[in-house]
Amino acid sequence: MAKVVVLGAGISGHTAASFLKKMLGSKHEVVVVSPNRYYQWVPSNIWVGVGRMKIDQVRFPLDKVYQKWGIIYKQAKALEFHPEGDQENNSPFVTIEYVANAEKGQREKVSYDYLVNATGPKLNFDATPGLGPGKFSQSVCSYDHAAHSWEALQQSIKAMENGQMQRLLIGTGHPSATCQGAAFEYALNIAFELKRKKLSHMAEITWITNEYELGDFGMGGAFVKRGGYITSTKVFTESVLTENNIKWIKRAGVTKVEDGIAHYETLSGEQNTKDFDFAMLIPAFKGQDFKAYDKSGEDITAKVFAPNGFMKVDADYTPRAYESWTVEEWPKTYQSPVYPNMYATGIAFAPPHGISKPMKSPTGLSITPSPPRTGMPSGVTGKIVAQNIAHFIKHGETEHKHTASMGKMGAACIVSAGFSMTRGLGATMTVSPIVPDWQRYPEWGRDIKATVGEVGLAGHWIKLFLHYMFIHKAKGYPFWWLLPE
Amino acid sequence: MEKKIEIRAYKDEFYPPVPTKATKFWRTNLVYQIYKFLRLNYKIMRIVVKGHS
Ligand SMILES: Cc1cc2nc3c(=O)[nH]c(=O)nc-3n(C[C@H](O)[C@H](O)[C@H](O)COP(=O)(O)OP(=O)(O)OC[C@H]3O[C@@H](n4cnc5c(N)ncnc54)[C@H](O)[C@@H]3O)c2cc1C
Repeated sequence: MAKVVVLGAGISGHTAASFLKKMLGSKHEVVVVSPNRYYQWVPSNIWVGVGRMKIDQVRFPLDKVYQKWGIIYKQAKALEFHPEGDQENNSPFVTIEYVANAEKGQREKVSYDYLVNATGPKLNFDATPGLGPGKFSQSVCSYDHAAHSWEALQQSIKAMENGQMQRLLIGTGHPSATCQGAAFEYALNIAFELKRKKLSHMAEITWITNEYELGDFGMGGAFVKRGGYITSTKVFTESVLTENNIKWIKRAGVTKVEDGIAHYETLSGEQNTKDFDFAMLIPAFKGQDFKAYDKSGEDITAKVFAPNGFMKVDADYTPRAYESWTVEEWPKTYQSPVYPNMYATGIAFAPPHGISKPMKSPTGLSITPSPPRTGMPSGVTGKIVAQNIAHFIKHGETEHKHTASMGKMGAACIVSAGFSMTRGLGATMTVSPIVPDWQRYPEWGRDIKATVGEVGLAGHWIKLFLHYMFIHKAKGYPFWWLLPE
Repeated sequence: MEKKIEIRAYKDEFYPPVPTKATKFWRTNLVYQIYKFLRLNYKIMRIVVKGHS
């Protein structure tokens, strides 16, 4: 009997665990370790943040589903990786610490034959002094953050109803933050809700971003065929903001947040501030601060993980200038180069480099979005790793039959711009591939025929449909495995 | 009192294209959007299927 341990039950880990169990059946063991007892459909947190969805509409408890599937679930967080075992154990294991119930605080060594690290990002609020819930700004990165953000937003709405102008600041809260798409959606949803309440004239909404140009989204921007032109997402994004009367500050790295004041440095080296009554700013992301040790107990963290805490996989990490980047550096199998029975999927793998061109201010501050790893690549990488591991276990082979590179795979992103079945809006964007392939597509970096950018009610329907479809799939309802990632 | 007019000329937000009334109308026109829903789903599925190969 083989044992596969999956760390994390987000989009990537839950996908990996569900396919592993389906393919391996009861002959083999699948264990999931995750500190949060809920699965959450993260993209819908935006709607929690504007009061259009309740927390329980975007999450559900994992234990019932895992019980049904025969997956062992441990509500714990992983702390240490011991890929060679230790003095007492020859098998590799991870040290975990339980976070709930009677076992809270207890540690356990969980051995494995294969390990899938799908622990996503650590929301690194500490990298920006004053940033984040409990301090001076809000976040929508998890359902509880989004619910708090909605509470704070309601106070601003009340103030507007009482005749007070409100300054709302939305965007990135660190010079190297990513996930611009989510913050952008939030800004548009707030604008939509204020319009609905006839309060638009009482708000000054500002979009603040570390992007060189708007519409970069951490993937170097994109081009879409539209109205007889091939148009950049810069134009598309500026148009949507202008239409919603949202002003913008670009090339800005937020360095500190105080009560009602965001400090930022621009790429030209200016030190500026922006006052606000309400701010939702996305933090920097990093890996989960794991430690790794070899059999003798020596610290091998730097061998297994990149300096940003994400796990090294089969990417080419040789430092290169932007002009020399190619899609070939991007990983395909997500296997650790040092321990072949370890994999990292979703946001947990260390990308070889950014996608957006690195930029520095005259003071040397890097103001560049980090590369995003959105839902689709997170799901797809979880699935192909599960397929490969299941194949190895069942057939004793070691050749990866399934691969998925962000330099080959496309992604669809539906940017919600207002929640209503008849008047709502969504911007549907598709790009292929996610990482521009300048060798294959010298003009635009991507397949222009596969790239779409459209605003309309249909976009909202698609986003809502995806919400229900992915929750159906994650709950393991009938035919869940037929639904794509 | 004279109403204060905010002149947008020469500001960032003066330059981007903005949708006309007709564009806004089609964005929420149910029949057109049902067609768009089907078309966009087809385009998304093409990308998804490619990503899974
Ligand atoms: C507000 C918002 C909106 C978004 N909207 C979209 C969208 O519209 N479309 C899209 O494609 N993408 C969107 N994204 C991105 C998408 O949510 C991510 O790509 C996706 O969640 C990444 O999946 P993951 O499984 O790698 O990480 P996560 O979903 O973050 O899951 C990580 C898991 O690891 C667990 N974990 C953490 N630490 C440990 C530990 N020490 N031990 C064990 N387990 C641990 C966590 O509890 C969690 O279960 C959005 C993101 C945000 C924040």
